Parts: sequence; structure tokens; C-alpha cells
Amino acid sequence: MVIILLIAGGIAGCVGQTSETPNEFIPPQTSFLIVGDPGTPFNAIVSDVAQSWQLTGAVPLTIVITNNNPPVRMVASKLVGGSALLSIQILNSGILVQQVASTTDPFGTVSVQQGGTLLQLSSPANPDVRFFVKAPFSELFNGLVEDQNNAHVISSSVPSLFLFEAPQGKVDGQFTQINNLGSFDVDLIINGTVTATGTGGPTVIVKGP
Amino acid sequence: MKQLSFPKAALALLAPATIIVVMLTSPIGCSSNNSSPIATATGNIEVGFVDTQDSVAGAFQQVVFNVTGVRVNPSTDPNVSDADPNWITIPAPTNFSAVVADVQLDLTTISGQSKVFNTAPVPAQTYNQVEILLDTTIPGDIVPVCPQAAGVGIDGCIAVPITIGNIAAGLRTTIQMIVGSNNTILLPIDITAGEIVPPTVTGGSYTVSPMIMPVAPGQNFFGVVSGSVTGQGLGGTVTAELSGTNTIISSAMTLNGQYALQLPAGQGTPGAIVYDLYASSGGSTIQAAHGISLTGGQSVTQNFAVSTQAPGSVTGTIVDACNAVPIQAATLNLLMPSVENPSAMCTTSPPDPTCVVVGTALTDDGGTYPLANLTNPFSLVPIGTYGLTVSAAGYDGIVTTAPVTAGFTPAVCTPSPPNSSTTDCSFGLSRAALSGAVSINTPPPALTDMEVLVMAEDHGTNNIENVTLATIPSGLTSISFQMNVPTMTAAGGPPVFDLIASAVDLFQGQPDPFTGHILSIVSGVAGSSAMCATVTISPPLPPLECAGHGSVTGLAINPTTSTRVRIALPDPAAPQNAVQLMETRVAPTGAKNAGMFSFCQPPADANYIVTRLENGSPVSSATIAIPTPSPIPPSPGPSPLPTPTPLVSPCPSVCSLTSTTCPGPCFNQMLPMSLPP
Repeated sequence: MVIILLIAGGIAGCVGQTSETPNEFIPPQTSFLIVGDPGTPFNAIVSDVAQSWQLTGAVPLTIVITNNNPPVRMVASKLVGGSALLSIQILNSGILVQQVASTTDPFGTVSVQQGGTLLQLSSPANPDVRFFVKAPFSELFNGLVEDQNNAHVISSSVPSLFLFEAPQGKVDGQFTQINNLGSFDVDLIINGTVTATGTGGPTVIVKGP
Repeated sequence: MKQLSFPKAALALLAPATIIVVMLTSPIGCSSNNSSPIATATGNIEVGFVDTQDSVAGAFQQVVFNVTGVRVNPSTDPNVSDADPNWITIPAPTNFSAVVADVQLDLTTISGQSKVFNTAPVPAQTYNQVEILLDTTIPGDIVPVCPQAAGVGIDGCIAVPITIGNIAAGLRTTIQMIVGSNNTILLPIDITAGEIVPPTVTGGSYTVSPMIMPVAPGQNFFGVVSGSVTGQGLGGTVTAELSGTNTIISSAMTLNGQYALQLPAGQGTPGAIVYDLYASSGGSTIQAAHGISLTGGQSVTQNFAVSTQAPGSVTGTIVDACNAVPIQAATLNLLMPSVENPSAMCTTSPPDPTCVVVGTALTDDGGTYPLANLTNPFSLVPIGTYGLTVSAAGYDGIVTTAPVTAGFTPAVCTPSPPNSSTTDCSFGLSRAALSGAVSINTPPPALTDMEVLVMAEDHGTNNIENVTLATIPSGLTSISFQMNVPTMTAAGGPPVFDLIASAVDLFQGQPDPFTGHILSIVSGVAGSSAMCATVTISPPLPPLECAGHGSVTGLAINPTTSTRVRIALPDPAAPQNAVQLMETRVAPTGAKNAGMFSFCQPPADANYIVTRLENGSPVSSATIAIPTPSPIPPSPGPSPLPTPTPLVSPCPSVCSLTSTTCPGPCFNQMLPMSLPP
């Protein structure tokens, strides 16, 4: 099974890490797919009960909240006129589309929600920690993003944005290509500033300060 | 030892559905069961949808099916088993994602007008059965317009999930398709909503029994543009986009110097859709054609002639000229003249309208473009001089000249706007800002907030310049906001804006696609021509108040594909100014419910103005009032019909059967007159 191989690679990546944690609650993850007419720019706010993130991007984009606390909601607005399609979809278990909403209106807005009703948007994440895997386009990859206490095995396609909720201490990420389509380009963004980058491949490691 | 999480996202590469696993490990379109030998020759099937029955116009604001794929089978048995190993699936476009996303098919947008779903390779053979695959978890939803009588039926302008009532029968039909080797066959599917049964209990779903069928003989919602491309290198393509835009509809590989594109088109001249085309490849020049009008069943020939040309690149960084902050998701378009007008000026502001977009790039989180990707058009631009436009919401756009030279030296764009580079095509985009506040008279209760979308559009138009989200927290009645806006109009004049604030409501705990608060509008707000200046909105935006939902329906007589209907609302402080809110197309003449339209808009003190447009120009109008729905009277027992249910959020979900102050279910307003052409 492909998934087992991926996990094995992820575990190997953990060996030799400096932090140690007791066994605790396994943090969940929520995934969003932003699809539609390629290149459609959008603004979005993503929130769970603990934190929120504002982001700007373009179709296509996968957004993953690691260590999140549901319920979770996303509100996204197109940043162009015209009839380009913007479609946002929440994935359940990373596979099944749980909710989907689309718009072709000029500067149209859509919203999706999962895990209950989020009655208010949370305060902005602080620290705001993000891994943005932006190249090579359409590459499939797996990897590991971790802080001092928890490690999250990840797998997605480029481009992907990982929102690391409530990281404890130093963070880092390891990313490994599956199809070797070209050089990785990964940014670690903390509080709006690119603090580390990783380029090359097929594996890159991006470490926070 | 660290605790590992097995991410839900990791399972994006694995799925419970066998067919998805197969797609990841074998070419798209191969049989879902490897026990059958796979033909070595392949062709392509291009799937398109159309609702020729126009089954929902006027009755529903949206009828959406979540489509995961279309599958075909060579069997002549219409009852061939779902488990038959010869089914071949054409999946929804992946958008380069590891997960096959749903494609939302809104029947109101394909009434009398087709839409391409996807094109995929399949074994070359004859197919006879076609089946649509809907998401089994969330097959779709319906947004009804308001009911026709006050206080009767479910509330309108809310999203209600659907249940499919005829899975086995309705989503399959018999259509013979002969797919030859290296040929692309068009598969137009006529889809209708069928019977729609509304929910009968609170929180229930619509039961929908969709039907698919071949498009009837004599009806044709696709046209063909084909021709030759001489001088093009290997891997060349011809791309079709909506004329005057960078919205790509379809792209075809050139084979032996020939190409063919099957594109959506309506019935007859009223159904014509206009396209721009361009031929490109990595090692040759680009040639473009502008304004190709296509009607259903029509075949148009468009030939291209290109020549070998070395590539260069266009790169740079886009930042805010006021604070040097990188602008993410700015859009850059490469323009060139068309063969019909080779002397068109594509480097002036504004560019000649016959110029064609031949490449698009976006900026990344660092404001840099293009993303590292060898197939990105900006990385392999044939040597030559192009127009380059740079745009981002809230900023002044730029039109400049991009002279592309050979090799790894990027183009240096001229002229040089402020903060531009002398070594590539980097720019600082100028802008001003508007500041103001959104408010409500009653603060959100504890543990809730009120999210408000604020849009700024050019005064007297529906050309939106920017949008921002402001959040009023619990206990407060207002919150300030600031948004970037250009320092000039598109025509170069002083900036004047209309502002619209619209609450982003929940309904029964779920996102509500249409607001239940009145719209807060201010017209004629003077912006600033001074770069980086901030102007305070005056007068301020009026408070938002809970009003419930509302809808308007009407008829535009003898419509064409260029017929659109717009709804506007006068500014209470300046009634002579009508702030434009929304536009919609109508099904053209020939469709079953041709000309019918609907809008979901909240109640207002003033009358809405509904205007018919032909080719963008107003031709007729009418006014209509949308009153606040009547409160629900106390009921001795549970109502069998879905009504607003109590939640913490104040509107419109807080209404209960015992409340006499909350708005009840809306009821539809019909235009007092049909809109003539």
C-alpha cells in the first residue's frame, strides 16, 4: 500500500530529531481545496475555535490546518471581476469532499464550514506559522512538519499551504517529492515574514529560527 | 519519541474508492478493473453539459449537482451493471490536486448554454452507455427563491441539501460514441433537474430526480474551430479563451499541423459566443486571432502560421508602492496583436481591445513571478515585444512594454513606472485607501460575531475594485475597516466610489449564500488621487439591520446571449444615485424558460431598480419593492415546514416560532412588467 511506504519515510525522517515528547493526543488536521479556473486570485479567512488566518492566493491551492480545533470555517472572496470560477471544498479525512461552495460572480464570496457551527471568527494566529510549498507545480509530495512536541506526517500536491496551529517552540519541515518534477521551493513564513526557505530536491528541510 | 499524527491530508493520495486509486497508478481513462485487456490505441472524449429543458430558471436561484466524474461503457445493454469492469471514467478536472475535487454544476448557468466538464483519454472503441457520477456524500444543494405566498413554504435564498431520488435510472443514458485513435469526440449531455420535491420538515432536504439524455437532434450547443498551424514545433497547442479575457475554455494539441477545438456555443446567432485563440509552443512564435464568433453547430476555420523562435523570459517582483510590501496573487498578462489587426497597440493604456492575452502569471507570497515551472508561459516567451499588464485588487493597474530577448536575461520592461527595476519587469503598484466603519444597532450576543463584506466599486458602475471583510465582535456595535483602492478610474479620471456593506450570515448554523440583513450603501465617495493617501468615507455607511431574506423574479422578452439583467438600489442619502449590486444572464430565445431571471436581495426601504442590458447598454427597466417578511405568528405546535430556528446569532437564524419580532420566511416579488428589448 502506498500510504505505508509514505509513513515509513516519514518515520525515518523523525529519527535523530532533537525534541522528545510524551505520548499525547494526536492532533487532527483539516484540508481545504481551492479549485476552479486556474489563476483566479482570492482572499480568504480561515478560522477554527482557537485561531484564524488571513491569506491571499490563487487557484489552485491546497490549505491544511495542522493541529486544528474544529469547528472550522473558511470565507473566500474572488479578487477579480469576470466570470472565473472559484470553488472551495473541505475534505473529510483528507479524501472525501465534506462541503463545497462555488461562485462565478465578480468578486464573489463563498463560505464552507465543518465540524459544527463556528459562531465567531477567532483571533489571528499568534505566532502565525505557515509552510508554503509553491514549486514545482503539480508535484506530489510527502513529508513532516513538527514542533517541539508533535510531528505531523503530511502528503499533498503543489501548491500547498500548511497552517501550523499553536506551535510549541521551534518548528521545521521536511518535504520529499514523489514524481521529481523539478526543484522544490518552500517558504517558512512566521508572522508574515519569510524566515526560512528550502529549494532543491527531491528532499528539502526547512528549519525555523 | 514524538507523537506522530496521520494527517487527514495524507490520505489525499489514497481513497476508499477503487477508481481513484487506479487513476493515481495508471493513466486517466483506463479501465477500473485490470482483468480486461486495455486497448493500446487511445482517443479522447470531451464531456460537455447543457440543460436544454431549462428546467429550473425562475423557480430556483441555484440548483447545483456535485459531479465527480462521467463514465462510459461499450456495452449495448442499458442496464449494464455498475460493477462491470468495462466502465471507463472521465474524472472531474483535478486542478493539479492529489484529490479529485467535485465540480459544481449549476443548472441555472447552463440553461440553453453549454459548459465543458473535462476532456480525458480513453481506449479507442465504440461506447454506448453514459453515466454521471455524483458525490455520494453531498450530491448537491438548492437555493430556492422565496415562496410565492407570504408565510408559506420554506425560507428562500438559503442553501438546502438535496437527496437524489433516482440514482439507478436517471443518471444513465444511451449515447453511441465512436472514439478513434488520436481523435477527440464531443459528448454533449443534456441534464435536467427532473422532479424536485421540497422538504417537508425543518432541516430536511430537497429530493431531486435528475435525468440525463442525448442532446436532441437539431439542437447543437457546441461549435468547432479548426485549422492548420504551420511552422509550430512539437508539443504545440492552440488555446481558446473568452474574448478579451484570460479565461481559458479549452486547449488542443496540434497533431500533424492540424488542430480542432470543440467549444461551447448557443443556438443560432443569439447564442453566439466570442473567443480569442492563439497558437503557441516552446520553440516558436505565437500567433493570435481575436473575436471568433461561434454558434451551435457551426464550424469555423482559423489557420495560424508561426516560425521557429528562441525563448526568453519575463520575471520580476510586484510590491505595494507605498510600503514595499510584496503583493501576492497579482495578475500579469502578456498581450499581442491579433492577425486581424497586426498594428494594434498592446503596450498603451488601455491596450487596443483587439489585443489577445497569450500568457498569464501570478505572483507568489514574495510578490515574485512567475512560479518556478517550466511550463509557465512567462518562462518560455518567444523573442519579441509584448504588452504586459499588471493588476491587483485595490491597486492602479500598469500597462507596459515587455521586450523579450533570448537566453536567461529577463526582459526589462519600459516605460518605467515608479519603483520599477532596470534589470527585469518589477513594479510598485500605486494605490490610495478608504477607511470607515460598519455598524449595527444591536451588538452580537456573547460568543458570536457579525462578519461584514465591504465592497468598493467605481461610481455608477458594477466594476468592483476591491473587497474586504470586517468583523464586529460580540458586545460592540461597530468596527472600523480600511481597504486599498486605485487613485484613478480605468479611464484615468479622479476616483469616485460606491460602497456596499453586506453581512455574511449563518442560517440554521450553516453559511448562508445570501444575506438576511439590509444592505448598507453609500454612493459617490470621492477617493484620493494622491498616492498612499487615506480618505475617510463620508457620509458613513448606515447601520446594518436584520431584515430577513427576499427575492425578485421577472422576465426579459426575446432574450439573446448578450442579454443581461442588473439590479440596483438607490442610496438613501442620495436617491438619484442607484448603486449597482448584481447582474445575471438569462436563458436565450429557444430555451424553455427563455428570459426568466431571479435575484436574491434583502428587503429595503427603497425600491430596487431592475434593468435589462443588451451588449452592456441599458434598454429597459422596472422598479420593485422587497418588503420585510411578516413575523411568524405563535404556533401551538411544531410547524412541519422549515423556518428559522433559534440560535445565538441574531439574524436571521434567531427567529423562533414564539418570536414576533424576527422576520419569517420571505415571499417572492414578481416584477410588475416584463422587460422589453
